Amino acid sequence: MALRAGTRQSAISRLERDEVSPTIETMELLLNAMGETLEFGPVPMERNYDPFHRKSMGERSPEERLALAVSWNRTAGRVREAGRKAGAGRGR
Amino acid sequence: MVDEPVLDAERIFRVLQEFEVEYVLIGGIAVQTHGHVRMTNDADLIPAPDPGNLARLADALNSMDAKVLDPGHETEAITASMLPRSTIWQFTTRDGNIDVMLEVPGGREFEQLSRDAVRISLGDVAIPVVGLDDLVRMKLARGRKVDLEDVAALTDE
Repeated sequence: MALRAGTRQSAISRLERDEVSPTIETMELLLNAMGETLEFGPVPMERNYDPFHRKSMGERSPEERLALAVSWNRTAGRVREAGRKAGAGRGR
Repeated sequence: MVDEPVLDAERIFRVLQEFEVEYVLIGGIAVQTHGHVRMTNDADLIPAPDPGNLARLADALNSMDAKVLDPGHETEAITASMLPRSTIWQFTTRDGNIDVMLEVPGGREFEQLSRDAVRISLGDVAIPVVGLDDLVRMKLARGRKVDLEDVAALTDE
């Protein structure tokens, strides 16, 4: 690999041992030496929400959003508690 | 197993205001306030680190019957002097769980966080919510899956 890429074996070893972080140019050089190429570009992060819901929340004021958040968290907690009690009741 | 109390964040904010605690709200409720709806079961806050404020915070926590959740510290008394001994304390109170963080990855100094916080009124209670830029910065520094999902939603404007 070092011979093909025109670098030293010690340089490859340092990369393999995670002692140095390769530049994009080095990465490309090493990949090219293996017959591969480097693709580089922005990709959206994983989105785990409903974009329409997100948009409608964005249109509310921060005061409304905080008030809703407090209410939803309280409701979710009460539902969780009720579920726990129901589960405990079934276990008796 | 101890039952987890239902989070009533409004009551927590009210008590903090009554005890004149200076803080910035971060975490799930801040995420919700900035527009991404996901449930959370605790209130996360960064207090001003001066001893006077930490004493007021300890009083506020004790008024909510707070108990330390951190393993090995469950019986520890909540005082102004114990709070700086850890960068994060987890408490359970009658109004829900509260995480107190004296240092957060990606977090700037308290004065800067407080200066750029968004002051939001919930009735007659004022809540300083961490600014969006600081929140994103903290989430990126934490880097868990849920944090990156939060960033994806928070930056979708």
